[in-house]
Order: sequence, then C-alpha cells, then structure tokens
Amino acid sequence: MTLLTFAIFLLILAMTLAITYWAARRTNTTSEFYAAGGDLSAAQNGFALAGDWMSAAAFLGFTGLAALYGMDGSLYAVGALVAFLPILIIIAEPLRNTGKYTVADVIAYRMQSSHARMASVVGSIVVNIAYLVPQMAGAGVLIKLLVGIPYTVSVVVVGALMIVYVAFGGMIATTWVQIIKAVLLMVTGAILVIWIGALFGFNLSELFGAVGSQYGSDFLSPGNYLTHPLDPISLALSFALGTAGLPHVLIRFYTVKNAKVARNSIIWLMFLAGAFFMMTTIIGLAAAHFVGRDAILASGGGGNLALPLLAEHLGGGPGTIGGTIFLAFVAAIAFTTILAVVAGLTVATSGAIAHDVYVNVIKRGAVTEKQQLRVARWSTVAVGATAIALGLLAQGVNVAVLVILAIAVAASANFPVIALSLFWRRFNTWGVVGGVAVGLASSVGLAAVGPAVMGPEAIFPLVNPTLLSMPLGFAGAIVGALLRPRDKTAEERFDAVFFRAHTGAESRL
Amino acid sequence: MSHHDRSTSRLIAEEPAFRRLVRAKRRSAVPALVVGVGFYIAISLMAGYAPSFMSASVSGAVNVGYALIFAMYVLTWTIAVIYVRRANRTFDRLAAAALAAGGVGGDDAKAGAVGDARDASATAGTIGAISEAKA
Repeated sequence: MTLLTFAIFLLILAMTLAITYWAARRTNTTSEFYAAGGDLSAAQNGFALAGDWMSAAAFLGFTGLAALYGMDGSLYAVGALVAFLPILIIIAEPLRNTGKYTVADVIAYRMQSSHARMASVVGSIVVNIAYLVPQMAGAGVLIKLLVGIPYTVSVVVVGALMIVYVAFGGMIATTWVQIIKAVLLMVTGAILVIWIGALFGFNLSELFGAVGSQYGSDFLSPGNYLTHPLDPISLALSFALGTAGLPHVLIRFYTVKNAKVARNSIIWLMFLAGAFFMMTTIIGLAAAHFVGRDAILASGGGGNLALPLLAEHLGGGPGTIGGTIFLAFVAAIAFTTILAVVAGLTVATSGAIAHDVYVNVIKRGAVTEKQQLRVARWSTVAVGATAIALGLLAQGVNVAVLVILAIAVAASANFPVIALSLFWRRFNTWGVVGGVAVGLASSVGLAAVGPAVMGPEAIFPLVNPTLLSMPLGFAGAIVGALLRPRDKTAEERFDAVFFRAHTGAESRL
Repeated sequence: MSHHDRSTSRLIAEEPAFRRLVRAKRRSAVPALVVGVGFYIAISLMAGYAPSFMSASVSGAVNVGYALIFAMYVLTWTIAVIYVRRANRTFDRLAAAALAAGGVGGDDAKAGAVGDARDASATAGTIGAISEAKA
C-alpha cells in the first residue's frame, strides 16, 4: 500500500469520525437516534438516500457488468432507478405518515398486533443481513485487491467503524456519512465520464462504435449475462418492487418532516442516483475498450475492478504517478461507499431489534426514553459484531447469491405485506404472517435450487426467483387473510389508518 | 373501540373532501405506474424474447436496446417530475381540506366533531381557496 493511499484513507476516516463526534452530541433521544430528529430537508435526505442506495454493487458491480457483458449490465443499472417510481407513488408517503422508526411500525399500527410486528421484523432482519454480509465480504475482497490489506483486517475495520458511527452518532452520523459519500461518488463519476467524453469527442456513438468494432456487435446485444429469456423480467420485477421492501431505504423517509418533503427528497435521489447509474454504462464500456475484458477478468473480483482499472489507465497506467493517485482515490471512494451503506443497514437492523422486538413486543412500550436509547446502542454493537462474524465466515464464499437473495426476499416477503397493509381493507394479521412466511420460504428455497447455488444442475432455471416467489408471497398474504372471517372492527380501523396514511393526520405515532 | 368510534372512522373515510384526495391520487398514480413500470417490463421481456430486435442498429453501433434503456432514464425522470409537481400543487391542498373537514386530531382520527362535518367542510373550502390563490 502506498503512502498516498494510506493518506487518503486516513483523511476520509478522520472526516467521518469528526462527523460522528459532532453527531453524537446531538443524539440524545430515540427520534434523533433512529430518524435524525425527523427534520432533514428534501435535499439533505435526497443526497443521503442516494448515498444509501448507490452501494458498491452499483459503483463497482454495474460498471463491471457493463464492461464484461454489455447491455445486460445497463439493463441492471436502469432498474435501480425505475425502482423509485413505486416507492415515490405508492409507498413513501403513507409509510412516512403511519410509521415512526421502522417498517414494522407501519404493519403494527395497521394491525394493532405484536404477531404482525414480529412477522414484519423477521422479513426486515433477513433482508438486512442478506444485504449486509455481501457488503462486508465485498469490502474485504476489494480492499485486499486494491490496496493489499488482508481480508480479515478489512472486514473487522469496516465492522468496527460502522459500530462507532451508529452506536454514537445514530442516524445523524449515518446521514452525513451518506451525504459525503454521495458527493464523492458523483464527482468521481462525473470526472470519469467527462474524461471519457473528451476522448471520444463527446459523441456517444463513437464510444459504442469503438467497443462494437473491438468485440463485435454480439457484445452489445442482450443475453450475455442474463442467459435465460425470463431472467431479465424476473430481475426487473425484483428491482422495481423489491426496493420498496428494503428497510434501510424505507427508514430514510422517517428523517423528514412530512409527506411533501419525503416526495421531494425522492426527486433529488432520482436525479443524483439516476445520473450515476447512467454513467456506469459509459464507464463500463470505456473500461471494456481501454482496459480490455481479458484484463478485467484477469484482475479477479468478477469484473468489480473495471472502474478502478479504468481510473488507473486514464491516470497514465499502472506504475505511473497519475495512475497511482487515481487508483488510490477510487479505492478510498469504494471504501467510503461501503461504510455509508453498512451504516444505513445497521440503523435499520438495530431499530428492528431494539425498537420493534425489545421496546414494543417484549416491554410493550413500558420503557423510558433513556433506556430505549441504551438498548438501541447495544443492539448496534450486537448487529455490528454479528456482521463482522458473518463477513469473516463468508470469505471465499460466492456472496453474489446473497445480493440476489436480499432483493428477492424484499420483493417477495416484505413488499406484498407493506403494500397490502396500506391499501387492502380486508387484510389482517394472518395475512401478514402468511405473506412473510410464504414469501421468505419461496424466495430462499427457489434461490437455493437455482443456478446461483447449484450451477448447471439447477432445478429452478432462474438466477433471481422473484418472478415466481413474489406472486407466491402475495398469494400467501391473500390466502392467509382470507382464512380468517371478516372482522368489522379491524376493517373500520383500516379506514382511520388509510385516512392518516394519505393526509398525515397528526403524523407520528 | 366503542360503537361511536367505529362509525366515526367510517365517516371520515367517506368524507367527500377525502374521497376527492383519493380520487386525485389514483388518477395520477395509476397511469404513472402503468407507463413507467410497464415500459421497464416491456424492455425486459424484449431483452429476453426479442434479442435480435434489441440488437438492431439505430445509429452506427448504438442499437435499439441501448436506445430504449437511455429512453427509460428520461421517461422515469419525466414521470417522477410530473407526479411530484402535481402532488405538490394538488394533493397537499386536498389533504388539508380533508383534515379540516374531518376535524381530525390525535391518534385514532378521534374526530368528535364529525357531527359538524358540514360546518368543517365550509372551512375546508376556504382553506382550499386560500391555497389556490397562493398557487
């Protein structure tokens, strides 16, 4: 590891720890811990959402897919933007108006039942852990490849930092780490794209022409990565609707004052992250052209080094001063990206454990504010320690399947239950339990017998099981609800919930 | 819940001002979702089942698939901006009117004032007119 890389890493560490120190002094209530006090502006929450959503899987993964497999990588990337249409239009505002700190708040408020809350907590925790472990493992692999720090050290450092950020600075520190990361990532993307543009006379078809003549037109056709004809649609559904079931994304809407700020913050996110996802196509194709697919494959990391290698190439190539500076900078950004995402996941998970399970189910709300805060901080430590342990166990395991699983479970177990709770009058606690159970079992089960785990001998042909598991999740929720006779009181309660979801009547529980 | 509370929440949900809000939201939400998510599903299906169409040239090496993907970005942004502008102009005003008409405060929409709904909606009308004048 060069001195320069070390210096950039230290600078970013110092900055995030200073933020945490500042945030810790402002974190004295549960509202500040879980929701940053609920008073962020649309721009602040928009940048933080972008920092939360543009994970290493987007920054390094989408560019790698675009570089190695052409169009399929771009199809992947645009889905990450489309996903926010359903969130904007049907989920964010009602969620903001009926929940407090967690996704399960919404379900529990509607159903007035701790069974419903617990079912929702199970869905949230499975998704969060499935999302958290690949981030930790990704950090280990990437930092090792980029700067040579051993896997174990990277995983422990990332885990320790996320515990410090969240345990001390809660959602306030998380928000500002995410904002800084979003700015750094956007600037890096913009510099790369302008640089690439200058090399091709700012003419996109020149870039396509160069890549096309180098690798043949088949490279720019669909089907190089998503090989089964139903793979793209299954992926599309899991992205378009699964994102609306990701707790670490949804809890960001509790950090704003009302539904109007929530929706305006989504516009910020859509232009920031959308522009970035669009850039990954250009960066990926340029990496295929300049670095070459063989060199990207040979570098290890399954294509994830396409962007760092391109940056090194543009800076002057391996061994040059410019190349080294660029690589060091990109490595530091990748590291910050991972930190910002794992911090968001940690807030969401400790909320599910401390706020949902301990305070609301075990203690039935009979806990003082001070005790709640203490439990929240200790849950953070427990979540962080678990994530470190699982991250270490995941060394050498193909964690790509976990990323697919996280979004598939979110689409199949969480989304149906959230959507039906907010919009279906006849829905009830049995439906919540049925939806989570069937959605979880079908997405995990089908992924386990699919190509990501079983390879060519797969029993189920699709890598992403959402095409089948999401309808099954909905079926489980609907059948579960219909197994109970109609309950007039509960249905009339829905009218009050629905009214509040859409008017914000006396927001906050 | 007492019988009175139940009929109360039912009444609030059927309050004309609230029905107007729900109708306005539905009128915006359904087309926005059908067009936006529908276009994405269509591209995904074509990527799986019409790869030769997706590979056809639009201009030089740029093919139909990439053109549609870039169009998807622009479409998503356009739909979101139109929806949010409409929401900021209309939904918040209608929600305020519904709140005033319901006379709501506190947790369970405990509108003791539902009996006065008629009076309240007169107030709501005024609020609506004021915010309209501002816009």
